[in-house]
Amino acid sequence: MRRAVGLPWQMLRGAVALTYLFIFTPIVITALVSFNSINQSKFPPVGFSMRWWDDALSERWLQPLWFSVQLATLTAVIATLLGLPLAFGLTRYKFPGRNILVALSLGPLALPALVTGIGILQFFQTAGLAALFGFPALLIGHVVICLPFSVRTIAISLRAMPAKVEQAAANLGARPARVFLEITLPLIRSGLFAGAIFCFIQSFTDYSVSLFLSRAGMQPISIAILSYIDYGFTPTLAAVAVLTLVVPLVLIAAVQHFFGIGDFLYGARDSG
Amino acid sequence: MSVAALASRPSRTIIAWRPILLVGVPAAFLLFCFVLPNAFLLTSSAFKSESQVLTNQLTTENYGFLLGRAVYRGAILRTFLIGALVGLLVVVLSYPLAFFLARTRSRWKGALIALSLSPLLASVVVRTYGWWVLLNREGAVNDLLRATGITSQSLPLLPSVGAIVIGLTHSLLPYGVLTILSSLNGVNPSFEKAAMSLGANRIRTFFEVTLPLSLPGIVGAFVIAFTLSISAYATPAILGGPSTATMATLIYDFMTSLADWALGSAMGALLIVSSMVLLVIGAVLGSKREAL
Amino acid sequence: MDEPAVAVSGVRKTYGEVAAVDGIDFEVRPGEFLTLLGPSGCGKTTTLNIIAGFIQPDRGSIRLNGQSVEALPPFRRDIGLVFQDYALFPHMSVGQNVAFGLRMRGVPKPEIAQRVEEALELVRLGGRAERKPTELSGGQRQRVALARALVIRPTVLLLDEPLSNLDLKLREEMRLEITTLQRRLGITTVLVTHDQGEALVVSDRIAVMRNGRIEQLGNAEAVYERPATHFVAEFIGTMNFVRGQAMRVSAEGSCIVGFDDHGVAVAAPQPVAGSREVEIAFRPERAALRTAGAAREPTQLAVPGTVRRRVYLGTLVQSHVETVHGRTIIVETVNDGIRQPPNIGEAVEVIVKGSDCIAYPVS
Ligand SMILES: Nc1ncnc2c1ncn2[C@@H]1O[C@H](COP(=O)(O)OP(=O)(O)OP(=O)(O)O)[C@@H](O)[C@H]1O
Ligand SMILES: [Mg+2]
Repeated sequence: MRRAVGLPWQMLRGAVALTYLFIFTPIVITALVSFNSINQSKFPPVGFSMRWWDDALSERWLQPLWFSVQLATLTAVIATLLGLPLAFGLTRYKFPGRNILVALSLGPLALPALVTGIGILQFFQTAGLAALFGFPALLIGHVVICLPFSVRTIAISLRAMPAKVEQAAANLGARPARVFLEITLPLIRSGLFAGAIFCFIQSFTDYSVSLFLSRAGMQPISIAILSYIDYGFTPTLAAVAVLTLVVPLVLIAAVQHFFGIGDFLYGARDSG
Repeated sequence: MSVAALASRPSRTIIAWRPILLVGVPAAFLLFCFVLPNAFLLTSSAFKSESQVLTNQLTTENYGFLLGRAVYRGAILRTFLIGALVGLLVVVLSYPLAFFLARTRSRWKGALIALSLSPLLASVVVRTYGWWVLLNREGAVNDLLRATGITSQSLPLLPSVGAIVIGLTHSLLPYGVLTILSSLNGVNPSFEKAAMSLGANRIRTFFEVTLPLSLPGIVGAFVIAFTLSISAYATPAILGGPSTATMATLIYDFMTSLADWALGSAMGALLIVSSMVLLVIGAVLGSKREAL
Repeated sequence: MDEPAVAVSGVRKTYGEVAAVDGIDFEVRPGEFLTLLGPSGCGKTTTLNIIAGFIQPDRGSIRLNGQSVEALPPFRRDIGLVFQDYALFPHMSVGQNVAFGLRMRGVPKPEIAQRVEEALELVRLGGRAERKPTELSGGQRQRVALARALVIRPTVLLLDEPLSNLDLKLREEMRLEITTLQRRLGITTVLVTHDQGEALVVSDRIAVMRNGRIEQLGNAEAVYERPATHFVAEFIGTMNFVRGQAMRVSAEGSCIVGFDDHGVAVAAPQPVAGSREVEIAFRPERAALRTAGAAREPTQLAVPGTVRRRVYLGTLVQSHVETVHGRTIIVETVNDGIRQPPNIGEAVEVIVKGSDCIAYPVS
């Protein structure tokens, strides 16, 4: 068997180590900068202080953070509810217009989210839907950009299902609804969760579609940080930035613990 | 067995109600909240606007304005330059990493893959600030340069196109790794074994078999990095300035401080068209497998 | 007479230009084991899926026990189906898999438990109900699939290449097991296979299919001894073909053929015209060899040739004879130590009785 040692491989390992360094340096620096004792983002930090963390944990920042969590949760739920029937229809049936719909459901991934945000803004404004501005429009924008993630993930797990089990269930007397509930749904469960998590993270880390759709008091955390830009990058902001990292990490750990999306992500599946 | 003739009957046309019921609501949602807004934006870019209100006067003025001025032309060119550079850098940096991840026998393989993708958990806004800390006038890089006596004065590393390229490369690297990794995983290991059995050493095997077979991944990574770069707002906003305006930062200015929606739409339309062109080129060069 | 358990009449299904099933009729009698046999792509699976209700035929009808089932969706047809790749539900245990069909029928819980147990006993998997399908061997999965299909007491059991995923030894074992089970339960069964050996062993009757049509429907002896078409003759077992001349049509289903002026009467299941070339078919075990030039009986045909190869099969020895027209004829001799097969390179004559030959029109 191949034992991959030798000079080229060692050089590759060196390059890989440097790449990881490149990936994580800015993130680590951001975290360390939050402990500066002066109100400047110096690296290495000057002295040590936790007061910027006090600031970061104040209402000023927790409010948009909590808002983002709510927005991302709702987005994930709605995108999954829309993505499930869409993916099921697209993978299990042939119908006129199917190809157009496939392109359409992946479209938000292809077009710039920033522009989609502007489009929604202008279209709602002109179509007399200005009443939707605020949370509803923001939610709509987020669902639009997340839908491709959910459709795609669900479609992949629908296709990855062991062949013919749905037919076998129908043959044994299960009506379509029962086939779906007893066979399909349990078998794509991890795909559903993975899709919902992709949606959550996509929504939680988005700034593009929110840029033109958020309103005062209804700012996702990334927009709140971005609009602080004029004050420079203070250690408080660094602490807030670290806080925003905690949310998806906790989420993934929890879901992995309770439902095991690992199965899905590593493509391990049984065929009976 | 002549029952056949009696039993045969004309084929029935079956109206496929089930798929219509299934995809109806999501399709309507996409039509109303994605297609119509984008279509509206494309049309409105061809209308005159007066203070955030579009008139119904058709005009090519918006495009003429954007393409006629050196500032805007420069910004558009700069945007594409950034996109191309970022695309290139993302491919160059993510290929070795992806290759390592695809081939390593380490028992940490899973963790290493997760680690390389983990930056996606943080908003680009958050990840870009790290570069600001390093690169600003009073930042770590300048401190280091002065302390070691390489320079006596702070270098203006920010705002600059270079900083924007670094920031975007950093934030888009995971997409490159993901794309190239999946195409490398799709390369059947027996091809490599076959090449080696035929006398090619590891390096020749890589250049003659593995690399060509993973070309679709390279094209894919380049296109993704390019399209996401040209429409990125946060990174040029944080690491750039007025002198390094890009299409996205201009759109922001048009939409907010200038309050000229028609100009914003026109620039947005240019972005849409550029993305589409890139994706089509990518699809032609890369593999054509079914999207869903 | 009894209603047929399954009656397929005039069924046709096309995909674009291709007719996957091109107008087929057959009936399966209650308790009969019928096999659909044919090469890959001839429409076997499509036929089975039409019976099971997964594919709507363009034309034709399916009746189960005299009842038309056209309007019935798959889940109301009461047909047991065993898939080639088993299609066991991976998220359910063996027991839950077998219980599924009973649950769908609203069978009370205690009865389900009992019937599942019985079904698993039947396929010799008693006590394995808790296992997951992935923890079973290929043959065991196959038996679970069988138990799952049988437990609902279906009108008819459909098996789509159920053995093709198993290795040779297991395949022969399961072949036996399935036939024993089928005879014991007396369940009407339709098997799909492209393995003619399997078809000959297990079936009461065989329908040989080609390009979406049935070429011949009959028992093993009929399709082997009296293949109705050139295709069936070629597809089932080993068959020799030589070109000859039809001198005249003697009676219905028979004609006089020969190579020179000497003619013998042979069977002709398809109409052949006089004074035309025909393909004369005969089995290797019905032919004999002898030195060239010896006298022959009037009812025998003699084909001159040269021995090119000899293959030992143990109980039999095959001699491959090349004719003057370049065709190869295989002759099987019992390896009884009495008859000595000729040497390689020797000039010989292949001798076969007219009653062991069948003539087919040249296509
Ligand atoms: N869904 C489909 N769309 C188009 N053509 C099809 C479809 N299903 C089957 N066919 C075609 O119909 C013909 C018969 O297919 P079928 O699956 O019934 O063959 P089969 O006898 O079961 O072959 P095999 O032994 O390979 O399983 C084939 O030529 C096949 O290509
Ligand atoms: Mg088949």
